[in-house]
Order: sequence, then structure tokens, then C-alpha cells
Amino acid sequence: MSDEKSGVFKFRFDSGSKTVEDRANKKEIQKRLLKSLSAYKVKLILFAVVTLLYSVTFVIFPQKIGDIIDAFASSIIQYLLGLGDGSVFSEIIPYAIPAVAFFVANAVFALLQGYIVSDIITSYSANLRKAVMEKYDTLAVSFIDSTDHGKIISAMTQDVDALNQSLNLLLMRFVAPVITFAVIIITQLITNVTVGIISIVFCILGFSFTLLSERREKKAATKQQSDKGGLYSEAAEFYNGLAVLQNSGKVEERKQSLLEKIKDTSKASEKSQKFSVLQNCISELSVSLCIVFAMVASALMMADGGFSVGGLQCQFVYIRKLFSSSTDFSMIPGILRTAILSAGRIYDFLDIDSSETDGDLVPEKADSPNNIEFRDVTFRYNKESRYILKNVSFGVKRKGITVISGMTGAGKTTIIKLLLGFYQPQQGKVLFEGKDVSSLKKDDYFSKFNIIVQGSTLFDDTIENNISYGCENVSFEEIQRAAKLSGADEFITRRQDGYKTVFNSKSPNLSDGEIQLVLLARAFLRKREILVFDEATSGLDVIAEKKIIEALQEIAKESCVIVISHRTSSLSNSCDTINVSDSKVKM
Amino acid sequence: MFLKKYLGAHKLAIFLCSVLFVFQAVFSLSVPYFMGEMINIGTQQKGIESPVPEIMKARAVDLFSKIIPDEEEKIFFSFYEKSADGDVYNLREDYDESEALRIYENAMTAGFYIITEITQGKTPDVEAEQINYMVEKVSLRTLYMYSDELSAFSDEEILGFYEKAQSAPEALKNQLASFTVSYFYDDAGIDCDEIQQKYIFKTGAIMVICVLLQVICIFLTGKITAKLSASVTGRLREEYLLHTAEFSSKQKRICDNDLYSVFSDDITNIGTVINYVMSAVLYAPIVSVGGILLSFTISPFLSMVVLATVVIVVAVLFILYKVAVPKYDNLQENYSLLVRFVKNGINRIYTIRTMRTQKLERARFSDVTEKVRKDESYVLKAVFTALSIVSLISNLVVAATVILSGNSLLSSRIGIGDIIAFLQYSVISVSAFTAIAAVIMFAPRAKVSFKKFSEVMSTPIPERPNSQGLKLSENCGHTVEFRNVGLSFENGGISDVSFTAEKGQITAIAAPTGCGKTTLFGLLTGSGESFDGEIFIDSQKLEEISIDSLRKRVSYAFSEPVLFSKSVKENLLLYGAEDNRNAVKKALNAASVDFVDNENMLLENGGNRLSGGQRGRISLAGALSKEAGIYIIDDCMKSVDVQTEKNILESLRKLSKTSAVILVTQRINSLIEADKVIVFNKNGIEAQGTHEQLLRTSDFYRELASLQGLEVTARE
Repeated sequence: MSDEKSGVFKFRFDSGSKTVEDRANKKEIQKRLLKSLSAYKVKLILFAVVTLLYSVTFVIFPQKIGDIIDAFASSIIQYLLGLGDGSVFSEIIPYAIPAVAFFVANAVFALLQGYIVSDIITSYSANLRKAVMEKYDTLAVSFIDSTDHGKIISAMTQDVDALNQSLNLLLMRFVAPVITFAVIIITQLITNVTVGIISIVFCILGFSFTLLSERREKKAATKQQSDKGGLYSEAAEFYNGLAVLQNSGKVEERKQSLLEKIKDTSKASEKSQKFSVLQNCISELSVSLCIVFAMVASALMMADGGFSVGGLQCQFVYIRKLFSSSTDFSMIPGILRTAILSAGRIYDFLDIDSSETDGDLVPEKADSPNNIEFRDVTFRYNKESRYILKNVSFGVKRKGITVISGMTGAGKTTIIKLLLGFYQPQQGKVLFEGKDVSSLKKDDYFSKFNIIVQGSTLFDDTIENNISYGCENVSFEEIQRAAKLSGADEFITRRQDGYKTVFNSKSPNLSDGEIQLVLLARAFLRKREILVFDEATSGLDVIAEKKIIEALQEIAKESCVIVISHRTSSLSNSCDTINVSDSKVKM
Repeated sequence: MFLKKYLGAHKLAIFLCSVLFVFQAVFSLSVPYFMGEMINIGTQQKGIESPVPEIMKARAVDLFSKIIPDEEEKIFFSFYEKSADGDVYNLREDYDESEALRIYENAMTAGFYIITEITQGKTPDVEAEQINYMVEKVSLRTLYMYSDELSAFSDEEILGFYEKAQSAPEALKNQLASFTVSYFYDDAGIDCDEIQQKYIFKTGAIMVICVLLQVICIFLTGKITAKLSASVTGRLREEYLLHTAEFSSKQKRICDNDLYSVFSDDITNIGTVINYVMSAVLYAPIVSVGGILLSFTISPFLSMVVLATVVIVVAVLFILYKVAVPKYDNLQENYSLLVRFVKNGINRIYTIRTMRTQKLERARFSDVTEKVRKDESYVLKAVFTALSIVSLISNLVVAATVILSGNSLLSSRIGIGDIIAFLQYSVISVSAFTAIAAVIMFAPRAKVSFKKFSEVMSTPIPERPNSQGLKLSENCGHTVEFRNVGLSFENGGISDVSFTAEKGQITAIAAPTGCGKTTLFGLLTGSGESFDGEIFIDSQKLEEISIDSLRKRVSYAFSEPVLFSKSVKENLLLYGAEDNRNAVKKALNAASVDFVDNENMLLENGGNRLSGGQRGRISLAGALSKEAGIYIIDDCMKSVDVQTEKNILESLRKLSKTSAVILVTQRINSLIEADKVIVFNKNGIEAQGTHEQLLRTSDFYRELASLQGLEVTARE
């Protein structure tokens, strides 16, 4: 399934190509890869042993069959001479039993071999995924925000998967065949030097021809890849910009150019396949010719009485196996490449030097009426982008609702990101109880917050578990009470499965308003000093909005509620409003 | 089934391929056939092809005539003619082979019995040198040696031996004939070793030719298959492209597939399947039928063993398909669950980090990972188990063949070489089917690809008037009128939208996100979505206008900028610019694209090095570069600074002198600049009028304005 090799993996965390460093890097990756595999030493040794046993039983079985064939020859003659009783069975039973025993053992070892491999690679990939996940958890939010999510997702899923598959192939198509190959060659040389040498010669011939044709194929393949790449990227643009092209009437023109490319690609792929056909021919040619030459040589030897028919049959089996394992070797470089590429990407990810800082405990409540204060804060995401906030100062009261309003993109959410210490301002300070938030211990600091941020959605779990998310040991009554307070209880109980309704993020079965009510219920369950509520979209109807406002007002009686809204709803009449616009705030 | 249609065009190629496969099978099976011959004739008969001697010395003939009855003797020697000097007898060209063989075998067997009778009690160490002993026993030399004893037997006794020989086991007669024939040649002074070597080399050469022919067949079938799959893939892509080129947002929504990934990945998968089917699935039955037929000629009973094995292997593969494929689907599902989990985790990072639930998330992640691991391991193990079973079965058939052939060896004319040949036949027949295992593991992916492909292809192409549609006349008013237009979505919709945008005016649309404005104005590009009410362009009903004419008239700047990996100029050309320097320059200026020094600057990877605002401006330049009567600028300015916005508004003002400009925006400066503002709420139009009017009449608008720092005095 060669299509797997190409196309899927395009990411690299540090951009820019560097060929000299690449080689050193490659060695580094290999080293780490081997080191990571050393955790599976015992299983790998077991794998090698089982493979060896598999090979040995494989080698012995045809010998036993050869013995049977030879036993026939003699038993027939005995019978003809009137010495035997004509019952061939009695003659071959002593040979047949070990033969059957060996091939059953062989199959068992083959099975064991497969099971060990699948065990190694599946647990290897599971552990790798875990390591990546753990790394991910330590990464700073600002880093994750600024990195292409595709890269992160790919490191956690596709790359692990690709590495996994390459390992499987390496073990099953390289390590195992090499062992089997060696055992067969040795056996051949012991049992019949001539045939052994013939098979070695043909193996070398076949292998070198395969390499030769592969070198040529590689050229054709790269051409095909680039042709295909050209077609694919052009098609990607075509479908991406289809609406633009339709509007400008350029569809026809682009279509023609694509049709041209399709034809070229067809030709190129036909050509590149021709080489793989050639390879097929070479391998078939070498195995068949090897058998013919072995046959002729053995026939000449048999004429001299030096070789038995059973032994010949045995050599045929060896030759077939020899070639079926040696043709696999040509796939190895490609597999190694994939393994190193994906391992490299995973290691790049694991090496990212960006972690959350941690600090001190939150101090006792200060005297000020505000627990949160922005002091002369100036912020932009990076040097290229515009200033989101310029010299912004404001405070948030301990109790009651504070509304942060402004247009989309005005910087409301940025304020929250700064408040949570995920980003640091270029100038000024964000203070909590008089201390810079970036110097606070996250576990402690965040324990003051309930946060419902923009784009928050539920987990693919029951509503009940979504409400109790992050809380341990809560009774159903508590959950229900929280839902009642937020006003979510009403629609939840209307559902057939009630609190056991499972949310489906792929095709949401709750409306945006309902999701927000559930999230609010979560806030009622976990009582915290501060609730940050990002109203997100305007996807709420009037009734839902009213319900939420009531719920917020209820919470605000006890604690600080910060509501982010891109329009001044009826809330703003009754509470503090911070209006963000053109990098300024107005109170 | 779509594939049928596409493969149908290649019937000849498929037929040719099948014929070549038959040849390939014949050649590949003929190698073991000659192998058997080489053992039977080359080693056992010392290379002498006919078991009836072609030459006999006169004294051998005398001896021979002694042990066969007269009438048989007459028949047998009628096949020979005496040489000129009378010393040797040569086999005639036109001899009756089966008669000669019958008599010859009987004679040799009779000779064997006679000598056994004579040498009774004089048996040397039988165990040690069985073969040589037996051969010696019936050799001419022995017969010569015992010629005196032979003469002592009466005619009746000799006849008795001959009759006994007639009813002797076939195998015995066969073996004796093969073993003894070379002695007649030795006797006549001919070098048998030379004959043997000649035979071995000759047969070896034939085998090499068979191998070469087989490889040629492989090459040809491989080439045909490659060509076929490449051309079918190409055809599929072509048809797919032709089918989808006019897809609008509506079709995209209906078929619900990523059009590009079907074009690239799924069609590639289909091509791979064709390749697999042609090379493995088609060849396997051909070669295994051949193998079974050939083994039938050796032993009908044993060929049934091979047939049974093939059936069992097919059954195992079928079980594998039934067991592993659903699990494989499951694996895919769990795997996408894993991807979704990671994606969702990133999207919810603020919630997770602030609630400090990383540990919980990790536990959930391990759960999903565990599920994937279990499925992975199940599928892998299923495949390994199936392969082990197949190898077990093929070993079983080898063992069974060898053991069972023992009895046949005695009762029929099977030589030891035939058994070798037979074993090879069975290996070839069975292993052809194991190649199908790879196809089976590919099947689920192929199935999904087929499904996606046919979903897209069965999505009907939009029916829009073109040639028979109305053409808009060139110099008209450029007026767009919406009359009671409504759209419905899954959760809501807008209704009763009525307004007019005309030449000479900038019409601003202030609408909240998600109210459907993109769909609404998309109608003007001919998206074909269904709507209520009526839309008129220059008093012509939208549905009646030909699509080409409509597209010429309307230029649309999309809110999500789409750029092509080409130069800035080429991008503009693709957006519909006239191909001259002025037009390009003008458009770039109009959209305030001041960061491009050179219009030939390449936009790598669709301009992903530019900021969102910069890309938006190039895409706006594209839309403005097209000569149209109606321009729809969909929220292009959300991320530009105030000065740029002003510049762009200025160009739009100029543009509006000759065209209608519809500007979708919420930015206050744009709204102030516009001649008319249509304010939308979630359900439709909230209010319309000029900025000043709206400030007075609409609370909604006032709020919008005040949010952007505009000092708004309370309602009078």
C-alpha cells in the first residue's frame, strides 16, 4: 500500500531545510529510537528466539517430508522384492509423526511471532501517545495557540501511527526474514553445498538487479511524485478556490489545465508502475531460474547416486522461502525513512522548549475593593501584529457583574487570556490580589476561577458527567440542583435520557443556548470566587438569554462575574461595563 | 456500480490480460511438470525417454525371445528391423508404442521372476544395496550370466512366469521397465551417461525457456494492468472533475465530502484496488484451476486434496474478511475518535487548563488510546492467525499428499518425479490465493472510497439556465432588488428581506455573524440554494438569468480570502482581471495593496506567509479587478487598520459611480461612509436607512455604534 508512504506527512516544527544537520539529526533520531525500543528488550529477544524457532522448524519440516519420500522409494522396493508387506503406512509413520509435529510447531511459532510483534508495537505506540500527551499538557497555552494545531494533532496521532506501522514492517519484513534467511542458507550449505551455492548466487543476482532497477525506479517515482504533487496541489487549489473561479468564469480554463495534468500523471504513474512490474519479473526470474539450475545440478548428482529425491524436494522449499523473504528487503529503506521522519517529528514535539511557568500561592485577600486589576497594560501577540491593547487600566470588583464589551476582534478575549496568565503583556501588569498573575501557582490561582470561554463546548459524555466535570464525588442531587439553578434542568429532563443524554460533538444534539446552560450549571456546582463567562456567539434566542442573565445574577450575589459580550445586552444597565475598542478601554 | 462503466471501456485489455494470465499459468506450471519428467526419465531411465529400447544386440534379442511367448515375440520383433550386418536390431519409426511397452514390461517382469527363482537362497545383503541389487537382478548381465539356468526351464514354466508377470502390479512393471532399459544401450556399447546428461541439459533448457516465457507474460500482464489502472484512474478523475466543476455551496453541502480528498486519495485507492484485483484476484483462480487439472492427470484422488485445500484457504480468507474487516472499520472509527479527542482537547485548552483537569483528560485519552490499541492488536492478530492457518494448511496438504500418494504409488503408474511435480502444483495453487489476503486488508478502505466517490458523483449537477437563460444587457442600471426574500436553516433562518442596491450607491449590510448573509448574497453568484421570495437584477428574475451572464455581472469578494500559489498578477487574472498591466495595478491600488512591490511576486502556499489582513486585501483586489456591474464585498475589512479602511472606502466610492456596491461590514467608518445601511438581526432586516437616520430610529444600531466608541446621544 505504497500510497501510505507519500503525502500524509508534511509538517516539521522548525521550518527550513538543512541537509547537513539533517544527517546528524538522523543519527540522533536513530539513537533515540533504539533507546526507546530498549524498554522492550525482553519481548524483542523473545521475538528473535521465536523467529529462530520458527525458522528452524520451517527448515526441518521439508526434511521430514524428504525423508518420507525417500522412505517410499525404499518401501516400494522392499515391497517389490517381496520383503515388505506392502503397507506403506507402517513404513512412513515414524517419519510422518515428526513431520506433522514440526509443521504444527512451525505454525504455532509463526502465530506466536505475530502475536509478540503486535503486542510490542501496539503497546509501544500507546506509550508513545501517552508521552506525547503528557508533553502536550506541559506546553504553554501561548505556544499551542501560535502553533499550527494540525502539527500537534499529527504528532499525537498520524506520526505515532506511521512509526507504529514502520516498526511492524521492520520487525516482520526485515528482522524476521533476515533470521529465516540465515537459517535457510546455513541449512542449505550443510545439506547440499552445490544447491546452497546456487541459491546464494541467484539471491545476490536477484538482489542486485532489484537494487539497480530500484535506483531507476526511484527516479521515475520521484518524477511521478512530483507530477502527482503538481496535480494534487493544483486540484487542491481548484477545489479550494472553486467559488472564486466560478465567479470569475475561469473554471473552464483551470479545468482544462487540470485535465492536462491528469493525463500527464496517468502516463507518469503508468511508467513508474512499469518499474515495479520489472522488479516483479526480476524476482520471479531469479527464483524460477534458481529452481531450474538447482534441479539440473541435482539431477546430475542423482545420476551419480549422490542425492535423493526427497532431498531435492526439500531444497525447492528452501529456495522458494529464501526468495520470498529476500524480495522484501528492497522495501526496507523506504520503511526506515518513514520511521525516521515520523519519529523525528514526534521527538521534535517532545523537545519543544516551552512550558508553563509556576509560582507562588495566591496571597490573602488584599484591602482593595478590586481583586483583579489591569495596570497600564499594552499587548500584542507578536511583533508583526497590531497592538490589541494600549495602556489599558481597569479593575474588577469582588462581587457583582462586570461586562467587557466590544466588537469581534477588539480584544475582549485577549483580556481574559492575560488575566489567566497564559500570555504576558509587553508593558504593564495584570494583578490578582495585588500580585502579578504570572508569578502565581497555577493550581492555586485557577482554583479561584470558573471559566466558560468562547467556543466552549461539552465533552462527548453524558450531561451529568459534563456538569460534574472536574469535580470528584458529587452526588446526583447536587448535580441536579446546579442544573436547576442554571435553568438547564428544564430541558434536560425533557430529553428522553434526561441527565444520561450523551452529547455528540460531531453532530451537536444540544443547541448553543442549551450548551451554555449546562456549562453554567457546572459553575453552580463548583463555587468559585470568580466566574468568567464568554458569551461567545449571538446564537442565543431571547428567552435563553434571559435565563442565562438570571443565572449570572444569581451567581453574582456571592462572587465576581465577568461577562464578555460583543453587544451591550440588558445586563449592561445594571453593572460595570468595560468597553474595548481600538486598543482602548472605556469604563 | 460506477466501476463497471469505466472498466467496460477496457474489456479488450481485461480479456487480453486474462489470456496472458492463462499462458502465464501454463508456463509457471510447466516448470514443475518438466521437473517431474527430469526425475522420472532423467535420473531413473538414465535420460532414455522411451522405456522401450531403441536398440538391441542380437544376443539380447535371443535372450529376450526366450522369456516371452512366441506370439508376443512375433508382435514385439515386428517393431524392430535387423541391421545390415545382422548384429543389432533397431526400433522402427512406426512401432506401436503401447503394445511394445506392454510386452517389454511383461518381459522384464518375467525376467525378474525367473531370476528371483534361480537366485533363491543366493540373495546377497538385500538391506544394503536394494536398488542396485534389484536392477542388477534383471539386468542383461544377470540374464546372460544365468543363460544356462534359463535354458533349464521348460516352455510351460516360462509361460507361467510370463503370465504371472502380466498380472503383476503396474507400479512394479513400470519401475522395472524404467530401471532396465539403459542396459540394452550399455549392451550395444552406447554411452548412457552421455544420453543422460544430454537429456538433463535439454530439459533444463526447456525449463529455462518456460521461465522466460512466464516472466514475459508477467511483464506484459503487469504492463497492461499498470496501463489499465492508470487510465481508469485518469478517467475517473476526469469525469469527477467535469462533474464537480460546477458544484456550488449547495452541492457541496448535499454530498458532504471534501471534494479534494475524494479527487486525490479516494480515486487513488480505487486505482490501487483495480491493480490488486487485476493482478491477484484474477490470476489466482486461473493458476489454481490449472494446477488442479495438472494434478488430476497425475492422480484424480490427490487433485481433490488440492481442490479441498484451495476451498479451505478461500474459506479462511473469507472468515478473515468477515472477522477482521468490521474490526478494521471499528479501528478506523476509534482512530478518528482519537483524532477528534485531540482536536477537541486543543479547542478546549482554556477550560482544561483552568479547571486543572489535565489528569482526567489524560485518563480519557488513555481510554481512547487503549481502545485503538485493542482494535489494532485484534486486527493484526487476526491477520497473523489467518496467515498461520493458511501456512498450516499448505504444509498439511504437502504432508497429506506425500503420505496419501504412498498407496497410489503402488497401484498406479505414478513415478517419484510425479510426486515432486504434484507438490509444486499444490504449492502454486494455494499460494496464489494467499496473495489475496493483502487485497482483503485493503478492502475496507476501498469500500469507503467507493462510497465517497459515488456519493459525489450521484449528487446532481445544479440545473441552472445557461444557453437558454436570459442575458443581461450590457449597459443597464445594475440594480439588485430583494423582495421578501427568506432563507431557512437548520436552526432558524431569515425572512422578509426586502431592499434595493443600485448603481451610484454603496449599500452597507450590517449583520451579525451567522445570520446567513453569506448564503443570502451567495445567491447572486448563482449558488442555486433555494429561497423564498424574489430577487431581481435589472428587473430580471434571478432564476431566469443565464449563469454566465450573471457571473459576468457580479463580482464577489469572499470573506474568507482564497489565494492561489501563483504570482499576484496571476491571482488577479484568476479572479477575472483583464490581462493588462493597468487593470492589475489599478485593482491593487484600489484594494490598498501597498505591501507588494512587484505584481509578479509569488504567493507561496496560497500566500500563507501573509497576514490575514494582507490576504484579504489581495483577494479584494481580485474581486475589484473584475469588470462587473455589481460588487459584493463580504466582510473583507474586518482586520485592516483605520487608514487602510479609509483608502479602500475611497476606491469603493469611485467604483460606485458606475456600479452597485454592496459592502457587508460592521465597522462604523464603513457604515458612516455608506449611502444606505441595511441592519440585520438574526431573523432578517432590523432597520434600514442612512447612518444618521438609523442613529435616530434604531436602538439596535445605536448599540452597534456605541460599541465602537461612537458617542451616541440617547434617544430624543
